[in-house]
Amino acid sequence: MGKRTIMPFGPQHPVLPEPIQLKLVLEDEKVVEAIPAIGYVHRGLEKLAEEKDLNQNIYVVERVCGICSFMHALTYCQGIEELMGVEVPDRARYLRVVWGELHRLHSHHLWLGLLADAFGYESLFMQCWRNRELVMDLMEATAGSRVIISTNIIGGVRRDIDSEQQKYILTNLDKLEEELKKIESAFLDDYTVKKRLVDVGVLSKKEAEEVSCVGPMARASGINTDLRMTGYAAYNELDFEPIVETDGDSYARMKVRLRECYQSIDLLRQVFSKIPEGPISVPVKGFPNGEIVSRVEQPRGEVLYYIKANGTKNLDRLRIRTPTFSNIPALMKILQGADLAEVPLLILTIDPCISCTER
Amino acid sequence: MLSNTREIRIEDLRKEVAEYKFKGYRYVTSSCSDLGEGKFDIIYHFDKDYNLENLRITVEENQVVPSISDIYFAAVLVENEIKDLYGINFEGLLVDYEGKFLITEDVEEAPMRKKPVVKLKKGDNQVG
Repeated sequence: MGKRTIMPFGPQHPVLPEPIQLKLVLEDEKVVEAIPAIGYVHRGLEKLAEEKDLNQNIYVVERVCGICSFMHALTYCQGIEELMGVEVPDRARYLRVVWGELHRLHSHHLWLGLLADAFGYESLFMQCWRNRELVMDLMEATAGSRVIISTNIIGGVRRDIDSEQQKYILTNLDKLEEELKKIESAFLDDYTVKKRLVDVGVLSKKEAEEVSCVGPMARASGINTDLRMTGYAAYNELDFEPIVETDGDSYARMKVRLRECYQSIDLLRQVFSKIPEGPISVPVKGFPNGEIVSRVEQPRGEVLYYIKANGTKNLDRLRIRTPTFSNIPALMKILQGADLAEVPLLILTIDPCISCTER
Repeated sequence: MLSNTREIRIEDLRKEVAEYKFKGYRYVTSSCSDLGEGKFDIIYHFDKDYNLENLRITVEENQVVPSISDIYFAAVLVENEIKDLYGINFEGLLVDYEGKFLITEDVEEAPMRKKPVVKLKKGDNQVG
């Protein structure tokens, strides 16, 4: 048996974009155990949500995370709408899919870029982020801002996307698909990339079920789960299947996210071929009473909001369970037995968002 | 409204959770909320084929809740979080951060607990 050492990894580390700390128990160069330590950037937003009123809370939850801000607002609004029995107009449901998928696209591109950077492919990283700019432009053109777009309201959406903008989005999507095809072979066929990703950090289907994995991480291990299949917003009227890979290694996780980019582009095209005319929101009066659970599939996986209302303008409780929080136990599992040199890449493959985890 | 919810006793919690595991449910998370007057609600959410089932227990202040982290490993972080934010103790946690998971040593009380409301009458000294 080699010498055992405990090494703190993070919260500030050159390869980590997020402030997560892992206490790594090492035996020579092998990781025996990894214990996560979070709490460095905890902001107490759940407590804040109890003090703000119903509409102000939309802005609070949008700031849980910049990357998936729209989806947080969507989950919250859907929950409140269900509690109050509000019927959202059809056009608003389709528009929610548009912004939701744009968020997924830019999140996955960001992650692909970070992955390329982690294994030392700087030009590939730049290419991914340049492609992401195309999506950010769409966000700016349709909502006026690039990151926190604030288009959700209780009862629908705040902005419409007219036919001119739809054409602009479709042209940009064509461009994006073309660019994606160019970088695809670098990710899938390159010898160095395969060397770094294939058979690294394998999480079997059984293990993934044991640690309650969600999102692309679960789908890469062969679990067929995607909350969009439950049909929230307008997903029940669109034609798609969850993207599942069975290998469970880092390469499979990359493949799932890469293929999901194409899926999002396809979903957006479907939306624009079907989107109905009509109003984009309904006025909502009164306050909700009761409790509800609202769930949405974010780029990183399932997010769960538990909302408890009491008939006033304030909520009794707003509990936010984000996908990264759910995937950290899986990270603890895949780090066991890994080499120290693989640790940064393995942390990255769960697509960690500590901002989400420490809301 | 929150459907598929059953209220159970704390003594039955581990048995019920083990049954969900046996049936192939995924543990999603637990939500805790303060009911006031030293009572807390903990709801355990389980999912199978997009169908959410919930178990609800009511915990008194200072009551110890059996941990389910040895049944579902994913509960480790959730239970530590509830312990930090609400000051509820869990027995048998696989990884116990001893109340220092999210908060630091200098935080004395559980931050998510409801503070007692003090009503001031007219003429009361509001300073201090």
